Amino acid sequence: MTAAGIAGRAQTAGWRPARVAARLRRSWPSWLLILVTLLFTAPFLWVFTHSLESSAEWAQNKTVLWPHAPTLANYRAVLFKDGFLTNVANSVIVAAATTAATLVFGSLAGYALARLPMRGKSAILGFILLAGFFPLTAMIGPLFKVMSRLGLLDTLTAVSISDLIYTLPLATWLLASLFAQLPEEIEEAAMVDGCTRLGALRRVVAPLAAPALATAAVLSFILAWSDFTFSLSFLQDESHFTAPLAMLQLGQTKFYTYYNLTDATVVITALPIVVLVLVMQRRIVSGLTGGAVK
Amino acid sequence: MAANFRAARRVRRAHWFKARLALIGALSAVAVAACGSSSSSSATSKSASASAAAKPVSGQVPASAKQTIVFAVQGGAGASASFGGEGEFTEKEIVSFEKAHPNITVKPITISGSSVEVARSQVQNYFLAGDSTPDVIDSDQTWVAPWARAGWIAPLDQAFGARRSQWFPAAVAAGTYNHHLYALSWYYNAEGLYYNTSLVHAAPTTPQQVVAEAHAALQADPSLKAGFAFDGYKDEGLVTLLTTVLGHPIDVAHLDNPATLKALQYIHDLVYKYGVTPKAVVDWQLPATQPLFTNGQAAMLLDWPYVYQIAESKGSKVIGKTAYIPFPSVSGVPAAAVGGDMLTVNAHTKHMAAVIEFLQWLETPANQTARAIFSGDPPSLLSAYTPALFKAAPYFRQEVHVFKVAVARPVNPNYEQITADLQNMISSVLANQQSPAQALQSTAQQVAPLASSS
Amino acid sequence: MSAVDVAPATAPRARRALRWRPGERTGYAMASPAVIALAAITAYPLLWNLWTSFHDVDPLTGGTGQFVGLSNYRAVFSSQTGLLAALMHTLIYMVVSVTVEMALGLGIALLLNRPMRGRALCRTLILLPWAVPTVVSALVWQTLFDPQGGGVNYMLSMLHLPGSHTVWIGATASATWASILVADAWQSTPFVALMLLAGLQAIPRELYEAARVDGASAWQTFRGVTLPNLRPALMVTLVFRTLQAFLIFDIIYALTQGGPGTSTQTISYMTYYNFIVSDNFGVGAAISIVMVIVCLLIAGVYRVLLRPST
Repeated sequence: MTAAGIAGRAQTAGWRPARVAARLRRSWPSWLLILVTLLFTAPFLWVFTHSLESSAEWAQNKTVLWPHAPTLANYRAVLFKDGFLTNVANSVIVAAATTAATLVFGSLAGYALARLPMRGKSAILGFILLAGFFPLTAMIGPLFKVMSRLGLLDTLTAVSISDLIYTLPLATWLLASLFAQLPEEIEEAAMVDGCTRLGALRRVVAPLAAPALATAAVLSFILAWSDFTFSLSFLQDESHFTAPLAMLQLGQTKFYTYYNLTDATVVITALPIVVLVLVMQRRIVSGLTGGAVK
Repeated sequence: MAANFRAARRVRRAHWFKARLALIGALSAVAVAACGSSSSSSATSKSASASAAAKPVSGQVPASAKQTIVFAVQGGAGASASFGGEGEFTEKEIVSFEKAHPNITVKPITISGSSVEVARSQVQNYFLAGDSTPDVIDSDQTWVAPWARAGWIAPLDQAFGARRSQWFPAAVAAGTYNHHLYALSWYYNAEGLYYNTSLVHAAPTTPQQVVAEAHAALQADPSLKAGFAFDGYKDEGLVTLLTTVLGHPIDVAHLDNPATLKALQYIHDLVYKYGVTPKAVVDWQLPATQPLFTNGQAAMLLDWPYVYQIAESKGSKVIGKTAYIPFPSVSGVPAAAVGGDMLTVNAHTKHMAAVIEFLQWLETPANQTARAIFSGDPPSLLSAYTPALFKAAPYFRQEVHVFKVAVARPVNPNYEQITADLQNMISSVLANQQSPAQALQSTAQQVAPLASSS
Repeated sequence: MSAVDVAPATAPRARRALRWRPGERTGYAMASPAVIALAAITAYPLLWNLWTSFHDVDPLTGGTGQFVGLSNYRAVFSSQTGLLAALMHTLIYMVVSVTVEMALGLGIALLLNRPMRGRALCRTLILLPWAVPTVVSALVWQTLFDPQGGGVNYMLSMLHLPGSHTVWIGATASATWASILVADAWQSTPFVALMLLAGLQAIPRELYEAARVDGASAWQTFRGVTLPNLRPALMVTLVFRTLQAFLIFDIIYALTQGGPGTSTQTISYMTYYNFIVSDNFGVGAAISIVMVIVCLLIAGVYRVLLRPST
């Protein structure tokens, strides 16, 4: 709060209409922010309220803002009768595995790109980034063949490996930028003491770069969690499905869609991400601020 | 000095070269491995399509041996909160089959139950990779001709040809390509006209009467959302719509003919001239239209048999007020587009004998009747329509009349592309982007070359 | 990205040619897992697509498997196959959506940059749409745009705003594109806002103080202090968003199926169409290769346009 700000506040203190009006005028950014936040959250609210709608009420085909008889039956049905809990667990496994691999590969590559003199550095970084923009539909057929030959069909491994396409480009680029921001002296000191590059990375740089690694981990988790195409193509058994894939199977046939059931799965699928973002949002922003966008 | 410099540069280049070579080598190995297998599978498929009555591949497992067959099911097998019993009954059938044949295990795998296009691409991944599983596939009838020509599914004349007359004729026609039977109809569907008997007082016998009755209903009850509803969303439903309204199979080779124009114009006029169908129809998929009827918000509905069961169940506002007849087509004959699921067999399966036992199990009248009673899937075997069935679900009596006049969609290996062009055409007409005559003319040119290939 | 092109060459040219730079081999070794992983996943598909794009491969009609030169590529740019139209749709949509989202995102980032109460909560809530899988988002908007009782029309009628009876999807091309834009912007603007917010927070306070002391107006501060320092963030975000907009597929597949007619078909949708609907792998592969080249071009253009001026 600057001095001018404090002075301004004093001028608008009190409850006289003119002062209230003045306060509203000054706080317009807050109102705008609230409006924007509401606009972005509204679809979620809609989905949430309809996930509490019973199937009987849904069949009546009337739009409501809040169901007459809200019920948790949809969640129970989806989680326990349809085994959606297993699907969520599968998503967690896949996303965690992909994130772990991404962190290792990404920090190795990111460090090398940031610190070590390599010819063709731009080419390497360019390749890593552009690999993430290859059209997925064009990749499925060939990849399916490879997975089939390797006996990896219907395994979470196949999905996890393929998800690296989403996560590695962003993570590597992010970590490379962030590593470049760290002061070089610390590693040099460690190497003078007898560390190899790899050792320096592990012992000295990684702890310093923990915030950056956390950011990369969160973003990778979110991206791997969102995968649909690879799960759809490689998984056959419903108990192996990941959450986004199972979500489209549940509550939908050729003939009818129980949106109340599907909405319940949407809420459940989004929940871990919501929690993750809530906990890590400051980290995400500061991680990106740290150097990626400097 | 210079010589050293050049020598050193050669050494460096050698290092670079070796590294690059290693990387390329590794990648090529992967590529060759996969390419090699792909070329062999395409060679097999070419030779298979050359001889339409291809024999099963070598290495067949005898029927009595212990084995597992893989069954790809749309929507999966098993109870689910939403699938209304279909998957559950499939699971029951599998269990009873395994009990009767202890040496055969049936392993169901799940392909998309909500999108026919997605399910097709999922199965095709296996075919393209040359896999011998899944052995049996729960297929849409539009997949039969393309897969038969590609040599991906096996002809079934030997085992089932003699039973041809036991199914609905349209079902057999939909499963026949190049005079060979490639698919067995598992359960049957036909798209008929539902009407609310309290709003529509006489069964319409001409397309104009349909419009008149819909109009009258809208006047009588202004709160109706539609006089005549159907699914106008851009998907296969548009092609079945055109087929039903037309009254006979769409002539792909000569699409631009007076009858088809009449049908397309009629569909257009429903929205833009007569106003009995709202413009919102373009965003109505099947799940949106059924509640309209069963909640009494639409006087008439063009839809599939599953609606009848819902209309006669608790929660429906039209219990006892539902009638279901073939649509009075613009060709003057009552008609209904044919649908339903079929069973096909992977041409590369190693378990042909066991597969045939399984198919015979699924195609017994008793199982089909039981399925109809449990989950509402209409049987495709004529003998499955027993008094017991009519007692348990009386609406099947009306449904049989619709099934008998069912019209097949074009059985053509290029069907996927034909239907995409037809969907573009009907969708643009329903959105009033083009006049029916214009749309028909341009689409006729697109599909004509696709029509003649077998 | 400029931060990465460091590593000055300290040795004179002649000596450098004689051996590896210190750490270079380690560098390649460290970068190799990531490169190999990505190459392993994309190499075979890329090679397969390259090979297929020059041959007549159509698994369902048996194709001839013959070499057909550039005819698949010519099909990509022909108006007869509708591919040129799809390409045009995509490029126009790309420009419009990126402009809208960058402007909105910048506005939101500026808002979020101000210190106020509940900022962290707002930040989280605004970021959520991006974190949600695209298929989820597409499904959600499908229900919201439902013409009878979907959320959008319901809200419009409750607030007595015009357009509450619009059929959003499938009736007119413009309404359909609008619904695609809304669904896409809902999901992508948070990402833009996040990146720009990070960039804004990296700008040192002193620069703002100095501008204020000099008596600069809000607009002058924005132009003189904010924008120039935001340049790296803007460039990164622009590249990502432009490429993503170019590749848009999920929303179109879930909401419109390219309709009404063919008016919302994008180039990615045509890839899907050729691979999965018409089984014309040759053309599908050609489209994919063209898309890769266009992505490279876009990235290159941005690189040149937004190179730091110093």
